[in-house]
Amino acid sequence: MMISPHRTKSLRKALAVAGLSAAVAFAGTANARTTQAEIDGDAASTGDVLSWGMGQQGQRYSPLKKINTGNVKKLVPAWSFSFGGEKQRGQEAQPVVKDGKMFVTASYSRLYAIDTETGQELWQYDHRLPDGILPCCDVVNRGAALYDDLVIFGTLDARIVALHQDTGKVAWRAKIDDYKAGYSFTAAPLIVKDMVITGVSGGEFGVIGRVEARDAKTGKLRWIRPSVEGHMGYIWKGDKKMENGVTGKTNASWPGDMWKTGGAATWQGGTYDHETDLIFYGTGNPAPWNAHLRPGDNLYSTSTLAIDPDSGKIAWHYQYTPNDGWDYDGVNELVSYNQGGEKLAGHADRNGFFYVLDRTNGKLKNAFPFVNKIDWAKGVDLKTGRPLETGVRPGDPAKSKDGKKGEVIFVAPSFLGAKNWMPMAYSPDTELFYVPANEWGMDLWNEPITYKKGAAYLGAGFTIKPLNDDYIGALRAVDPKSGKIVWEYKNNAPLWGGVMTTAGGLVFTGTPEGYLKAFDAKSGKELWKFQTGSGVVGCPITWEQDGEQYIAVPSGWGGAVPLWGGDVAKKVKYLNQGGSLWVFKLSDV
Amino acid sequence: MYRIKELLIFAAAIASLMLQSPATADEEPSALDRIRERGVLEVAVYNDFPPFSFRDERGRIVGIDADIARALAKSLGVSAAIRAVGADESMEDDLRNNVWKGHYLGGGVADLMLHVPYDGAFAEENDRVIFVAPYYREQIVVAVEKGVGASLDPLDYFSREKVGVELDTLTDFYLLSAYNGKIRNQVVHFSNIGKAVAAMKRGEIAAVAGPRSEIEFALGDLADSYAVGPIRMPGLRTSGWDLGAAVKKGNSALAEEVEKAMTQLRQQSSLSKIFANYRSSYQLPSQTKLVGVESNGRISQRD
Repeated sequence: MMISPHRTKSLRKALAVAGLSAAVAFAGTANARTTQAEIDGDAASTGDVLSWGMGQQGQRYSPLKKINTGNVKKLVPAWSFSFGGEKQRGQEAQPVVKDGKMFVTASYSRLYAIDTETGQELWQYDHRLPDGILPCCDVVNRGAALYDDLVIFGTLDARIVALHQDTGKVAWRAKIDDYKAGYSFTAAPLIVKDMVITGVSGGEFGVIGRVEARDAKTGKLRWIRPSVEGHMGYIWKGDKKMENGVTGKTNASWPGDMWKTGGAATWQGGTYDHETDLIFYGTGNPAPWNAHLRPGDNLYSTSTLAIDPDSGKIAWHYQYTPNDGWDYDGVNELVSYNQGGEKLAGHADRNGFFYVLDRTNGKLKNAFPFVNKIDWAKGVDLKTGRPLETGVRPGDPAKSKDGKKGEVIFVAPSFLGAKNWMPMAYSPDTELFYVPANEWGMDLWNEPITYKKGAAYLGAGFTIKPLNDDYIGALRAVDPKSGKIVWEYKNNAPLWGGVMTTAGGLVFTGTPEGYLKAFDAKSGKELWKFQTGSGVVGCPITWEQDGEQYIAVPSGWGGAVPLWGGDVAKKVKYLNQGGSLWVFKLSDV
Repeated sequence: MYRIKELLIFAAAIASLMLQSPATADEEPSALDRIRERGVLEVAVYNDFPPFSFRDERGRIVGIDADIARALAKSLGVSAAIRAVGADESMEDDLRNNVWKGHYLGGGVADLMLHVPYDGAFAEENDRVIFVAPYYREQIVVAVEKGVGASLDPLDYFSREKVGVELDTLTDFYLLSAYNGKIRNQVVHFSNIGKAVAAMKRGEIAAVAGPRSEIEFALGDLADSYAVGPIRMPGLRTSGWDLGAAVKKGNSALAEEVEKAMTQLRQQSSLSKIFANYRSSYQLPSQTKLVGVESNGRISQRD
């Protein structure tokens, strides 16, 4: 039975029905605090959603099956909530739920607490954003983390803010970095061993990626691990900041001093695997954009880093795109799962390949394409773990003879990726990954006449182009063992929202056309859809409350596609913005 | 005192407005009319960009571009509101954010933006703005200790000595790729020219490469100890470029006024004086006598 101690009505009902003692009521109050043990058990618990990924391993799988393939047709709205104001744009958040309260973030660094029974707002926090922030890729936020009586989230001006769950009052705040230097923060924080783990956003301008751990109660730094070789890591013993070893080996894979400004931003959220006790964090592309200037693998850009949460040191790494020349960020999530007695992890990269790693040591177990067209590599060598490149790389602008527009190359996937930030799901029932993929490529050329900050510059031009007339997005059920695509659902617009799967045999995801859709996890048959009024690029969740299963998803079209999408942006220009949250349950009739 | 001055400016603006013939009743007021009515010309300049636009100790935006903006406004009989903006990833972004559309975070556009490249091919690609009033020519130079300068052979010298550049600039990319990457390891990156020059003064690097005005300003009192000038840069396509102003397409009356005012500033040597105030040598734009601006924003030959 669920007890919702903050609601006296339910509590009274519970006391009356079960004749509970005062001691239990006291325990109920204590339950309002989110413990690390509860967060570690989030994937299995059905009455709450406490973490990004619906469990820190990131499977986005719920054992709930009250809503299932047989009755999903009867799913109807329970309530809807408007984020209000004039601010809309992309709503990419995953809500969290605890004790009858939902916490959901929205564009422009806003956070809402909502009563999950009535859909009424409890409080709202609007982070005051300074003038002069220049976020690269829309003003999104991907969600908050719960810990103790706090709800913690990051902001566009690179701050992290912890609010009291009951009041929305600020408990602590910390500066991740200087927004004026190009830093930002849009990912959902991760809570590991009473620490809040974050990365940094900011793709260019000499930003260096890093993963940081702070005391979740106070915001005080515990350790910093830079993601580019040559940079010193730090750990705090009490209040004392101590050197904690350099990341990698200086100048092993970077020339000159370029590692000092090497990029590899950790702009997406990480996952945590309690079985191996490792934090998995993805890194972005290396800087500068022209790969010819930085011969070498440029570690640890376009990689997953496995970090020991106690020491703040890198246990292992796997790099997806060495010496990246196509802007294939490696930030996509690494999802832990067990199969055939092995501790594995899956990752669907921007570069078009799906990777299966041994998550105890980072060794490559399998790699295969999950999109139809990959031009830059013909495969991944399972022995060496390195891509088998085709040689389709952008030309060296220094070698352009006449200063005219360089040769145009077409390469798929586009830099927006075979899969972008939107998280996939894994079902231990079907043993399939459900990957929100996109089929698109890009024209790339060197621009002879470009300017930056009023100065002549060597730039590159690009245009993203669809590969097919009838679809860009493709939700694909991927068998990590065989590398086969078991089923696919094609979508006209690019998919940009998270995926969720349930023990009810269902897969949920949203579309930019405005639908939240449910599919049969085994066959891919579309079983249900609901038009939310604006594009769905958020992440669905599910939880149980008072004996009923609920499903929630934010709605509001935006994100990087309309800003960067080239020909694709034109194709989806008709889509309207929005800003709301939809909650569904089974109809009583 | 300051208030009185503002009032005077306002009164002057009203007076100049009254002298003008009123626009026809059914016509939309032009951007120029609106500026004169408001008494304010809003000018976008880059923030944290010495010697062109930066804040002094009192927080006031000063610099070459800021002074030019104020001088232009004065010529138009209005006061200047300086909008210090951040640089986005490309000039196209900056023109969209500050001149013709506005950033999606809000805030609208300025009437005019300074420090905009004045380049026919670039103008062809950016037809939502009018490029006007070229006011100077920027040039890539190298600063080294006096004595080295005259005989500097880049390959030989930079194989031995470290050269500072601003990260993510043409000079940066050029030196990283020049001579098939032979001097790549000698290139030291800084977030701006000021920091590179400071490192050179401390003796940490031997040279700094970058735009002349920024280097000269950063050298300051020590300018006499260094040689500043262009060097041989084989394979570099552009070693100099003209800079001017941009207004939104359709605002041709404003564009013409700005063009006239800038020409006047140049002819009265006001521009070279402004540059001298910031210890930068003034270089005429290469195209002032050659090109004019049509109302469609294209730059064309002038007879």
